[in-house]
Formats: sequence, structure tokens, C-alpha cells
Amino acid sequence: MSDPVTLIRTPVSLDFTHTADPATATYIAGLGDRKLIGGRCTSCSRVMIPLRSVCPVCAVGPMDPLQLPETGEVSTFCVISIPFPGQVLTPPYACAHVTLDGADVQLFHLIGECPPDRVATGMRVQAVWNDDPDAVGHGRLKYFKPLEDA
Amino acid sequence: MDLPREGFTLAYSYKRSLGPVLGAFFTALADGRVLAARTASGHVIVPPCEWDPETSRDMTDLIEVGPEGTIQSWTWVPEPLARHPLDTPFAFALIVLDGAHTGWIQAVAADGPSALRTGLRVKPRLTQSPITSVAELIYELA
Repeated sequence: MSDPVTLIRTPVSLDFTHTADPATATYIAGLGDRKLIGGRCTSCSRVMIPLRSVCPVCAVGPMDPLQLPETGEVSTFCVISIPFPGQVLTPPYACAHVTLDGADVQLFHLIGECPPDRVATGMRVQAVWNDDPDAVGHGRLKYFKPLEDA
Repeated sequence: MDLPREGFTLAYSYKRSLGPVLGAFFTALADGRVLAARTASGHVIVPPCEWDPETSRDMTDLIEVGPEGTIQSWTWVPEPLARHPLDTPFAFALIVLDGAHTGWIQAVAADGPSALRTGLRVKPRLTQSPITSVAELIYELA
């Protein structure tokens, strides 16, 4: 007779292969060149980043690609304080929605070179590029750091 | 245009705590025994449910069923995937264990689809180690 079983493990795992659409491919290629590529809607003039095939508001496309500046401000943020399986960074660390100057939507990324408890809404930030040659996709952009003393 | 392509894995490492019914089920399963729940009206359900589907009362009447059973329906898996219970071609079969009124889906090891048909008798393959998952309970022709 075995010991009473009170708990079971039921892991779920799904393997995906994601292929970028041409607009996202342009955005990803831009990251490799240290450029933030967004798009301006030809109908409503909103500036979206990443570049998309059509404007997510008007559904009009294609959008006019344009390079956005590396500066912006924190619109909202979250400090991750708890560990979880698969976590790449060591908590605590901060993630934020950054509104790049001239953009109408936010870009989601990490905040670095700043204690997490100093991150604030409205904080001016600047993009920091990843020097790691093996970085891929969004990892080519390392994080956003405070422009002024945080 | 050569489009970028990346693989990624989405995984959740769930752990589930077991109540009195499923705790008893998995405790018995470790020894290769299968428990079923007997409802107030005498219906024997496997795997055991925690509440009586007719009266909604707690299920307390757990009885052992099997170990042998009868194939109610089946499908052949010619190319097993990484997480299937067997790495060679096998069948998933709905097996009604002796004493149970409902079937449960289990893997059946067989030489090929021509060796299987509805109504055949199956028995669990003996294992040395404790069974920790229903997927480890493999059936073969009796």
C-alpha cells in the first residue's frame, strides 16, 4: 500500500513557431539596426508602434513606416516582486508601458538602471540597446532607462 | 520577403491538490488499482467524480473496479507525439472496466489496428514502480 497521494503535477506545455507578418518583420529588422520603426495611419494619422500592416483603429492599411525617437515617458508600470517558473530576471524588476515621443500607443518593455521603487508614471525614459550579438527580437532593445535622475 | 520565425514554448507547471475522492483514486492508482464512485442510484463512474451527478451529494462510496475491461471504442495512433503514453504506435481506447458503467480513455498497446476491435477484453500491463499518472496505466489484450 502506497502513502496517501494528496497532490499531483499536471504540467501543460505547448510548442509554437511564430512567423512574423511583413510589417512586424520590418519592425524586427529595425530593432537590429537600432531603430524603432512605427507607422502612421494614412486615414487617422495615429502613430502606432510596432509597425502594423493596418491601423488597429481604422483598419486602413498599409501604414506609412516612420522611425520614432528613443525617448518617451512611462504611462503605466508594474513591479514584479515574486518569482515564477521560467522567469529570466531576478525580482524585483519593473515592466512599463512607454509612450515614445510622437507615438499614440505604448510600447511594453523593461525599465533598467533604476531601482524598481523609483519608477513612476510620467517618468522620462530613454531606450538602451542590447550589446549582446545573440539578442533576438525585442531583446535587441535592452530596456528603457530614466532620462533624469530617478 | 524572408520573414523572421521564432519558436517558443508556453508552459504552466500546475500542481493540483486532491480532495478525498481524487486523493483516494490516485493513492489506489499508485498500486495499479482503479477506484470508481458509486452513485446513490447505483451507477458506477470511473474515474470517480466528486459529486453525484444526479443528487449533487458528496461521493463517499468508492469501489474498486477492473482490473480487466472491455473495449467500447478505440482509435489508432500511428504516429505518437512526444507526450503520448507510448512511443510506438498504439490505440486510445474507451475501456469499460469490469464493474463500471462508464468507459475511460486509456492507451492500449497492440501490434496494429488489425489486432483491435470493439468488444475485445483488455488487462493492465504490469509495472514495477508506483503509477503517478493515469497515462502510465497501459492496457494490453487479455
